[in-house]
Amino acid sequence: MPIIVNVDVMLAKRKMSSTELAEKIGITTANLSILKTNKAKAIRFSTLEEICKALNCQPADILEYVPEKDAALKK
Amino acid sequence: MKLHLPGQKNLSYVVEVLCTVFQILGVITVASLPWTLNNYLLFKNSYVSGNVYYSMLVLLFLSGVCAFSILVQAKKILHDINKKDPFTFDTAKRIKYIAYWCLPIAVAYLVAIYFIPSAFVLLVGLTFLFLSACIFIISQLFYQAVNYKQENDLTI
Repeated sequence: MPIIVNVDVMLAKRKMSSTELAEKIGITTANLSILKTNKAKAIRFSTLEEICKALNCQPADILEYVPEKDAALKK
Repeated sequence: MKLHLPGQKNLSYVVEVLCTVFQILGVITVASLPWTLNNYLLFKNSYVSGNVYYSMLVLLFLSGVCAFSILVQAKKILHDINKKDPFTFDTAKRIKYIAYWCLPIAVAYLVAIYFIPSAFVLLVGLTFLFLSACIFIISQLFYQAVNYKQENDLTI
């Protein structure tokens, strides 16, 4: 998928663990892992809102558009 | 998520056990078909020509084998329903196989009209043809349902 979720980058910047974030936004670590590994098919606005609130950032900091070719190269 | 049938908690368990019972009975009947058919005809006190007798034998053997395969698939589906999540591609695939296994029965009975001229043979053939189509549609619906479920599961 050309949309990349950069939650782990933001987590590193904020020095926060995945478990801590999962607890703060009220989702399971399994679901957060799906999000981090780009396996998610969609993200609810409510979840996005919670992530932005917890990490004190903008949606653009978490989501990135990379054209298909470049995404394949990135992998 | 397990499937919950309100008020009928044990229904799927009973049907699963029944599948096994029918499988055993089916194997016994098919294995002893010449003997069973002979005795049945004697019991009914009806005489059939050799041609009709052998046609019936082939027809019953073929439908027995197909029915056994259908029961195998049905048992696996029920096992999934009882043990884990029933909405998987496996279940959809198994329902599709059941639809495919109904087809040989339908074709055999429709062809058998030439050898056993009876309205009931035609009726069974047409019923299985109709059943096959219906079950195939249900399998396609299941595929769509599994797709929706996966999309829902992967929406965070």
